Amino acid sequence: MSRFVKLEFGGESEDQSLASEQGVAKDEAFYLREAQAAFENADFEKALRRYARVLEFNPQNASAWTAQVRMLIELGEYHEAKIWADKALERFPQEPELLAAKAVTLGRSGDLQAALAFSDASIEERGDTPYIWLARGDVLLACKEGRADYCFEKALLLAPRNWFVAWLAARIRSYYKQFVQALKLLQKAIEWNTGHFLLWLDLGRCQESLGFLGPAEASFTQARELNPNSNQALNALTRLQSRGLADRLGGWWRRLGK
Amino acid sequence: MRHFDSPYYPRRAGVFSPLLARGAALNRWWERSGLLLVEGVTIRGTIGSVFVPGLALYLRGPRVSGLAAMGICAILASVSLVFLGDSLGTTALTLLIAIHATGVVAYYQPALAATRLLTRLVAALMLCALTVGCVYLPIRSYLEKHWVVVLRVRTQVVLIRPLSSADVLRQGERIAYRSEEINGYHALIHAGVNFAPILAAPGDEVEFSTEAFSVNGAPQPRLSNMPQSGSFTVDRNCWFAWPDVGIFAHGHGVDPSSVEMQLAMVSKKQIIGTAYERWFWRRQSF
Repeated sequence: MSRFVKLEFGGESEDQSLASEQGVAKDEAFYLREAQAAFENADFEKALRRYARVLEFNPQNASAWTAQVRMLIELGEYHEAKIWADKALERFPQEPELLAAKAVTLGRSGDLQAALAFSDASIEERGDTPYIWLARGDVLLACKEGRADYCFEKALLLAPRNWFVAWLAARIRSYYKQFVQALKLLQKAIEWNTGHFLLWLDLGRCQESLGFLGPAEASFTQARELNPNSNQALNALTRLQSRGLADRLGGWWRRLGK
Repeated sequence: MRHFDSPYYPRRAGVFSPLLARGAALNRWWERSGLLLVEGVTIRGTIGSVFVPGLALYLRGPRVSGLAAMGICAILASVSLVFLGDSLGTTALTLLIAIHATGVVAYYQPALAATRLLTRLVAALMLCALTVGCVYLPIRSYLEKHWVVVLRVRTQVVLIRPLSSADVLRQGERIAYRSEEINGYHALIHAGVNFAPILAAPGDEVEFSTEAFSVNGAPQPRLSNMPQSGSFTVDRNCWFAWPDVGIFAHGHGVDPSSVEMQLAMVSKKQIIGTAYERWFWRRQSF
């Protein structure tokens, strides 16, 4: 083992050594699996790096380009996401999910007209995937339109009992501060995948935002039990314990507003 | 991993990304709000034009003329800085402001073209005021606070380095300092700024005679209006600097040396700064 293996060089060395130990070929499929796993664990930075590796093997993988744009969106880097989406669209101008991802970047940046146009284009390209409808819902929420509910329902319909899609929908709802709807989606996601710590963690966050501090604590504890290495769960528990009266009143007020 | 490590890794958000994102959002808001329904006039362009001399001409086109204007502005800015206080520097600065302000007005030409003459005049005046107020006045005040103060001493311009709290003043250094109004000894000296070399530092012993004065026993030629006898020790946090003030006494009771002694005792809070020996490559002569 190299004496520099403990240093952080983008987390590559750890995975490479793991892969070599297991005798797994580090090809496009390997990095794609890694990327998806990172995405499902909300490790968007790692997922972004893995998708870059995928593209190094196969630059024609449109879904990897799209996924990179989605990772940048999840990381809140909308301007960079838009630039990357433009770059990807030069290669795949009619890729529906890519158009949808660009619509989200535009919507979250405040360019609502363009966002709607791209979202329309993504649907016109006969893209009938859950993400296209999630993106549509995202754009409509940015436009403060009520029709967003239909889009989330459609996405869930296209991926029945898929916890991942429900979780993504919940993340979008949370972004637009619709914590009650996000809570419902997360409850569904947990029903379909009870053992994933991340769902409990996000559920706790939603409950905390709504002022349900007791249930939030239980959810964070659950997340910590499922993944004892999760610093996020530990931090959330610590934060919860330090909350004061003003925070509790704030949560109560937000619940009243729903 | 960074964007230059792999062509398939995106460029990530930098320190200025949130600022740029807000700027873009403001720009979109401006366009949506209909405050300015003119094509080619954006909030980003406006901000850029106001803060970067010549950029407005580049944005309005033709691009070659714009680039030339930006180049000329850069040269004028350099000349005005290097020849600060000199007539060449002043001319360069005037030209720079003129090109800059004209550019900003030109940038707004599509918005102003269809308006009445009076509206155009008022708008042009306001844009010029905006340019000077947003760029040149803040730069001047920044320079005066941190870098250089331009001081006119009689017929000469002297460039002063503002004094910082960490500066140590040495004997022989020329300082610019503020003096308060002196009304006494049958004389009136208005408040103002004096410029003189430091003759003695805090704690030094100064002695006067008819031919000379001495600091800690080291004799030096007597300066005009200095007392002809007596001695004193310079106070703590005070410096002794004899200003070259022309006092013409008429009648009885006027004592120029007593008046100048008051001017010569300088506390640190009065000091504006010390004179630069050289400004760029130009040596200052006093």
